[in-house]
Amino acid sequence: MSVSDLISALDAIPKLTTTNPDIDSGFLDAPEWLTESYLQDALRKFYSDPKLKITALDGRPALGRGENYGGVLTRTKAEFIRSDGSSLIGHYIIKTSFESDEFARKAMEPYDIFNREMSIYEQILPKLNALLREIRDEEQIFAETMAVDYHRSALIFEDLSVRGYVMPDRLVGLDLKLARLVLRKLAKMHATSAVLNERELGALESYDRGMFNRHTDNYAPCFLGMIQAASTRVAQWPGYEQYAEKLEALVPVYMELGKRVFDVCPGINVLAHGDLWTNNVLVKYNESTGEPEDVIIIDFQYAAWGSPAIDLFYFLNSSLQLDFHLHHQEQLIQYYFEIFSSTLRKLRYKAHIPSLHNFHLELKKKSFYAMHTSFSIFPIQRNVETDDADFNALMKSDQRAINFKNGCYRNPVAQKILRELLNVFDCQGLLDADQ
Amino acid sequence: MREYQLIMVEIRNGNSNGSQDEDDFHPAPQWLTVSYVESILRRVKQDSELSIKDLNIKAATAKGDNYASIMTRIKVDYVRGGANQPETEFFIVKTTYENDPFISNIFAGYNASQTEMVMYDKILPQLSELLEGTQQSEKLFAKTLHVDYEHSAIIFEDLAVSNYVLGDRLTGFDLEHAKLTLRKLAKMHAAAAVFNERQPGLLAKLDHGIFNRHTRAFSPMFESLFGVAAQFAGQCPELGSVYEEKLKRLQKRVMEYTERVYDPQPDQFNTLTHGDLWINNIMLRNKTDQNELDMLLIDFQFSAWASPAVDLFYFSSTSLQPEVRNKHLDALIQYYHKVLADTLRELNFGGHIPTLRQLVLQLEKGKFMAVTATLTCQAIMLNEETKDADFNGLLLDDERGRNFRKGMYNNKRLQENVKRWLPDFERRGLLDVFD
Repeated sequence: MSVSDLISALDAIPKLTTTNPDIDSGFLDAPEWLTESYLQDALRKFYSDPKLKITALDGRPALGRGENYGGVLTRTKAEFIRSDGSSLIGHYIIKTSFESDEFARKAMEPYDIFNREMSIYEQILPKLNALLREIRDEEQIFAETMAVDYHRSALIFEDLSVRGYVMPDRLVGLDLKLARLVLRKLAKMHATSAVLNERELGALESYDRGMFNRHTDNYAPCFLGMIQAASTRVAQWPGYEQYAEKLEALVPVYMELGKRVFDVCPGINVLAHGDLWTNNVLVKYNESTGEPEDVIIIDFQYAAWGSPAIDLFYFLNSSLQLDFHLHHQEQLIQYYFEIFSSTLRKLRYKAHIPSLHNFHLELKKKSFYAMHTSFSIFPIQRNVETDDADFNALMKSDQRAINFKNGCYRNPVAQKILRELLNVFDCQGLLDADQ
Repeated sequence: MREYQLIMVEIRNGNSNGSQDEDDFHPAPQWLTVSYVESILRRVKQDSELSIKDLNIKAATAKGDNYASIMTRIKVDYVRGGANQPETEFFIVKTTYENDPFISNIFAGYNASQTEMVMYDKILPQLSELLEGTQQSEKLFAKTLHVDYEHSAIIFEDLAVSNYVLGDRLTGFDLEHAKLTLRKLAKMHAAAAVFNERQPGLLAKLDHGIFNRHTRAFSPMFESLFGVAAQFAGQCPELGSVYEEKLKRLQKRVMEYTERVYDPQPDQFNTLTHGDLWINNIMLRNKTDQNELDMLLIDFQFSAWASPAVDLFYFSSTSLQPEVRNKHLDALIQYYHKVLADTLRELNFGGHIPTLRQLVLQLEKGKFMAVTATLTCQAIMLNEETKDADFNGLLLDDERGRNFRKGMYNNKRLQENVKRWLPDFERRGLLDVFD
């Protein structure tokens, strides 16, 4: 599938020039090859217009510290003139890899996140869209891709913020309405991926490098460091000493238990997003009412073939407001499953679709991931001490990294989750080294 | 189930402990003579010179019922061979009285009396012996004196003499009592699993639990109570028509889905279940200055080789105070598991000892038992309308029976409990007919 085929699906054409051309032609913190001429070439391809010319360019880092550990995002605004004389402003997100940071590049190499994301945007997502159109479902799940550059590990997307999509506040968490919007998209994405895999005879099964996988343990310093920091914090609470000990005792088996979540088991499997939390979801709020109307899912670096539990437990244990995190997960799974199973049926999925109860049983086998997300991931995502919130702090084991992780557990929100859920998970045997 | 009948009789006829005429009671069995008892005692005490000085027989079951366990209390004064001092022991003689062929046929189909005889004769004493070898050995059952297959009679120690009484079925157990029950149960389950290793296949022959693959004679009771529950749900503002529809549809699958919980699975932990574990089948000795709180399990007519899910959900759905069931169930299961695993290890069980996680997953698979026990067994056990409370009322599809069963759902405690738990079951897909 070529870039132009992708582009033909785009429905957001940049608006005509308005006021105030904020002319500042420098990119900040972006890779050196990301020049005006590079973007101009991409736009020329996009519009099939070799005479297109950029007149102004403005680039800045798209996200602040603590918002993204997966690469460099550059937000660009480009003013350009086409050969028919029309003047346009386009807004784009350009996503590139960790070129300059040797440590990050080496650590992430085995996860192959950029190639994975590119192949998904180029090949997979368009096919998932096509499946939805097959059953006359016009819903948009993903951001539209403008260009995919394998050579430079770069992706160019339409900047959805122009259409009014914003990132929800990661510190607050989603309410039920938003959660349902996300789960509806997720259900359709999962269902179409299961069908696609069936029709293409296992083509999605090679995506086997999720956050836990059987090829690399490079994330171990992050996960184990977080659990140890959790244990240190919990040990200070009277009456919680036994939990601190159990957390510490999990460390030698933790990576193996995580890998079992990602091992492909009998039952229904899908292409999981792999990192589905508030920062990978864009929301469109209604201008007058302020009510959320739509969501788009982004960022497929960690996509992996496996149980829907990978996304469901990760999302439900990281991205919700406290009350829903604690008490509403089953209802939300039920909501997801109705859409998931009915989409499968509409697409004439051939393999067995489990009953809701049997689906619950399949998910429950992966409950370790709910504990992992609540205790190791959630505190990272809700962290408010952002001065040192970067990739090195996550992935290293030096004093700076330890301090950063301890800081995550100073957060009262993280502490509340621990206090509420330690007993719950313990009663289910999820804190036992022998599970 | 028979104890239920007995309770109804007690309520109708007042205290059966001596404030009535001898004529109000069923006569004691005619074969229960001094020489009969003497020959048993001589065998059991291994003393052919033993002689009975006095045998006091007191009938304990009131007349006027069609079907009940007939309990006869006997007080035996005897002297051992060559001794001067007389000794006294008290026993209960349990026989059945079958006046109503309709009901006696039903119970015959369940092998109820044979099962109980085999339990008291061949199994419970062996389990007790196994457990005597453990460090924290404790008594689980009344000690068997003699089982008479010809007369369908079981003679065991009279627990009332040691101050054992029945608990209050209308209130339910608090946390302390619940834990003690599960401790006893876990030890019984562990001992049975070990016994099964030493005598393979013997316990698996017990396969006539309340739900089994040989007879569905109780089905009118279970199916019609689901219908009553459906009607109640439909009229209940917190529940409504979705529940009514689901429960109506579920009526014809109740027996099959519950029987599946009883089917032993090769990859799971199976054991000898009590089969009818609710408050009225547990004798309590209250804590005093001289002794700790203690409990003994009685009434083994429906014991069957199956998953522990049978006992755990039956008990927790019928015999706990609401607060205990709603807040502490997971912790109770964790406690049960600890005692089970510790006892299995102490007894050198050769099979796989399930981890807590594995047990939790296994129980989740058998969760339909909780649905049945909550909607039907609980209704029977909380019932206070005793006018038509007999087996005809439970089983027959006549006006009297239909009114009786409908009236059960006027019980406020039952209603609160059903309202609390039906949404939980619904979310997990347990109310869906899927095959």
